[in-house]
Amino acid sequence: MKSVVFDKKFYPYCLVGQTVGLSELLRGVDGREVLQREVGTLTAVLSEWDDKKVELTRENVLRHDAVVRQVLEEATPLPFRFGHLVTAHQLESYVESKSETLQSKLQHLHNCVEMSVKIIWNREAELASQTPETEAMQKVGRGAAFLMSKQAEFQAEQSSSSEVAAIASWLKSRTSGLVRDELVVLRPAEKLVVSASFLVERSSLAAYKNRTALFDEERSDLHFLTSGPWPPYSFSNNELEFKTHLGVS
Amino acid sequence: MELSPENPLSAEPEIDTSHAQEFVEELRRVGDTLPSRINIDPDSVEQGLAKLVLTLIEFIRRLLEKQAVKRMEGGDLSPEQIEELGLALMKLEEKLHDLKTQFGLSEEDLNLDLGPIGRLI
Repeated sequence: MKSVVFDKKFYPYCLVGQTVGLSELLRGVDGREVLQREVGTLTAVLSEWDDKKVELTRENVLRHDAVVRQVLEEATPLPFRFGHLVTAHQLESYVESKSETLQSKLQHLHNCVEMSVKIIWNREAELASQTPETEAMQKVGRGAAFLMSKQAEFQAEQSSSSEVAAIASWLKSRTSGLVRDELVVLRPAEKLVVSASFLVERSSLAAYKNRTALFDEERSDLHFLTSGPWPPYSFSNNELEFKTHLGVS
Repeated sequence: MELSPENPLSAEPEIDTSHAQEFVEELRRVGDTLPSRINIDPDSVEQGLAKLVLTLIEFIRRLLEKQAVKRMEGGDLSPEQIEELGLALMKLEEKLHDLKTQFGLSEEDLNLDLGPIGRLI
């Protein structure tokens, strides 16, 4: 394994605590060779890059994902999202200045994968039955009726938020004890009301899957999409540190 | 169980749902997989900027509506004031609707993904 040459540009896939065995046949974004380089106390998985930008194509996105997934087979990576370009100096300086945070993130993610649960809650019938036009509205002017309809709308939104929060609490209670960390996004105004990411230890993966397999039976009022294992993108946030260089407007 | 070259994890992700089509449609709609970006293509910069500006106006408009409803519920407005405020907000909503149509934007377009915090509206 070589140390990084200072003025070169790289396309980074992920950071990892140790070197991993990558297939020689593995090709990265734009069909480039995938390398492992020491950067401070970590190992960066990257490709050398000589262009100004990265083309955002389906194939390139899949190649980025394939590299990170191959690393995941052996170790838990801190993945970068698609589209970053860095110089060796930027990468060195990033790892050096964030060394403690990155080590602590790696520790937090150690031996874990990301599992996802998305929930659709169909409320079309319920929403259709909410008739904003009431008798009181017919007795007042257009302006007052407008405000009254807004009042009814806000009350419905508030009630919807509480119900979606209750769904999220149920989900958290059902995965409790099987996950190390969780990120749950609520969208009460959408059909897709909950998007949750769970950080699951590899040793708990089978138990986690057995638990989520029961969701359809337990909550027939909801539609579930469960997926994973994924690299822990939601729990690493490496993309916040670098600008992306996507070849798109 | 530790990961190692001798003990690798099968990292091929599984996706399980009985409602695949519904999720595909919904995920496409909310743009869940990629954060929304302002389009700075020279040919459509106007629409990209309009989207950003109108999103902020929409956000403020909704705040004004909530404030007005609170004041109405608090009983500190006369019936005439409620009528005037309601008409003003109604016209603002209509005007914004016209501007959206002018720039070819839908209601779903007027939002910003704030990452871990969620969406602006």
